[in-house]
Amino acid sequence: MSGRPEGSPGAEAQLSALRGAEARLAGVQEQSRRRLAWFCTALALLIGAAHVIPAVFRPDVMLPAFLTAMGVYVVAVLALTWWYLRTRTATPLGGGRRYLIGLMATFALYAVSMLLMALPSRESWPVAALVGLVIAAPLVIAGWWRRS
Amino acid sequence: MSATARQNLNDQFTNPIRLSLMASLAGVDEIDFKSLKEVLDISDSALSKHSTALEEAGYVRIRKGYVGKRPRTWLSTSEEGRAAFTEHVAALRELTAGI
Repeated sequence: MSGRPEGSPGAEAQLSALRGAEARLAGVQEQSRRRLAWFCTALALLIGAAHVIPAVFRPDVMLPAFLTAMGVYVVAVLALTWWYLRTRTATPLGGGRRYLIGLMATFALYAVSMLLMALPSRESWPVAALVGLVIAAPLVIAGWWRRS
Repeated sequence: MSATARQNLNDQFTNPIRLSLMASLAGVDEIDFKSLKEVLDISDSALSKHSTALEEAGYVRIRKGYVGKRPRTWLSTSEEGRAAFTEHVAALRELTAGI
């Protein structure tokens, strides 16, 4: 610990350096927030789409189309993750925790939606799309959430 | 102005580069080496030297990884570093209050 004189230029210079660093960091923070928000949005919509694909391409009726759609889906998830990991330069404050909470909530809703798919009466694709949006919602909200 | 505030100043942070480094890390969960270097506007070697010193003090975490074949180094504050930095800044504000 230090014993600098009270209110010395040292303390003022330190606060000035501190403010300068905070100002320069603002651009990086904003960019990292936006990047995480768009990543969460795209990933959430893809997870939601996993619920819609079987409703549009019913595997019991058109298996090749269903498998093709699922293949495209997997490639899209991998490409999105690769893009985010490659371009990420910082994680916004609290962003990692928010992402995990949002992802867990979205996966929980997806698990519940799997039960709906097991019901004898099949969903129409507009209903499936609506359910897909509900599934995506927690992760989208987590991505765009800002600390107050 | 109190003696407590003076005592709460942390020698690890009185260097302006280290203070700016901690301020930058306090504003994010983690940041890569290159971006931090640009924020601080210092050389690779200077950032490496100061971040290693803060890591040895237990205030900074340094994580090395790869994105594809490219090596990337990530920096973040430890819980102890965040607490020490908050205390240091509070002491600075108390010392400069009313100036």
